[in-house]
Amino acid sequence: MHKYSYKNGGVYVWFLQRLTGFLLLALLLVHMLVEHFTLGGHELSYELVAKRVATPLWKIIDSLFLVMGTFHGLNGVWMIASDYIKKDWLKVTVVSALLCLGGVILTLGLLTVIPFKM
Amino acid sequence: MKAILRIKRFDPEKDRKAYNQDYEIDVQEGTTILDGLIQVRGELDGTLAFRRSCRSAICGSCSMMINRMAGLACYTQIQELRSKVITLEPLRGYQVIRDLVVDMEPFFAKLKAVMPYMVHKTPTSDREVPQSQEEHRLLSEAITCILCGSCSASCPRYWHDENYLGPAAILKAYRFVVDSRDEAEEERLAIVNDPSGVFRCRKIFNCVEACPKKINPTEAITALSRKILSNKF
Ligand code: SF4
Ligand code: FES
Repeated sequence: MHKYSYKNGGVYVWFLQRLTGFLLLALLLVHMLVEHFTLGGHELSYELVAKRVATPLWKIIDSLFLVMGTFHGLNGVWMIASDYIKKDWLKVTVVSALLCLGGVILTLGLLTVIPFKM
Repeated sequence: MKAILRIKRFDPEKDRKAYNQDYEIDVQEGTTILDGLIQVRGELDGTLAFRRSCRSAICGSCSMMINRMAGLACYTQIQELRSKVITLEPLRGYQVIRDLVVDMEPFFAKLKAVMPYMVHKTPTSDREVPQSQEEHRLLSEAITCILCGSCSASCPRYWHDENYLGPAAILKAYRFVVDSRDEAEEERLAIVNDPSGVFRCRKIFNCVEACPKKINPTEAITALSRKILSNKF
């Protein structure tokens, strides 16, 4: 029979999923407010957005957004998948595929966000 | 009044697949599903297999799928179902042994996994260990569980994940964790923190609806999740 134990505990992932969910929502609100109300309103242009995105503070915020979004999304997919996948080899395959996908998303995303210049 | 019991039959010695069989029975006010089954076995078909013992919703052995909802046969009155044809199937998520009899072994193995007994480590005198009424109130609902398995049988997570502890076993863990006399909180929380433990619950609430004792297992699951979390940080 399955051995129930602490070692492979689920509490951290469960908590991180909730935490990132909440923070993503908060960040999204900030993004909406800044982008569509205070920054340019109806006259939003590339220059305005680029100027904002090029500042170090926004680079940090956007990177956080990216990391949390990737984690939340892929972990959510894994949570649903793990409910239904029974075979161990398939679990390993799906986890590896999701990790690779996460790696690609993070690399491409960070390569866009961090070196961005006006 | 008459009603039809549409019973899912399966005899592993001669059937390759389960099939439905209809039985017409007499129904009066207060006739339960179990009364109907006893009527079938006594008067219409002696080969029908089902479990029962107390006939008063206390032993938990007569749970089955009644019109696709898990419940106790001895506690469900036929007239209250308001259907002419009532489908009776073995509990979902368990291996069928024959007709309405399922193998409850995995269910009880999971129950045993959460240490369903009082652990008292500090030496006590030979007197009883007292508990205040407030302390007792925390577990007064959980101790009415009769281990019928209806909650687990109605849980989609339980159907799909053979390792998932399920509402009944987690409720049992909760019953001891909130008991002021028990001293094995850490060990028990460690067990239910398993990926197939409390965090596997998807808050579907089917167990709450199914429980014939009106217990809320989901609340117990959430309470344990919170406890694990607050012990960590
Ligand atoms: S919690 Fe309710 S449904 Fe579940 S085993 Fe106990 S009495 Fe049955
Ligand atoms: S026969 Fe005991 S609970 Fe139904």
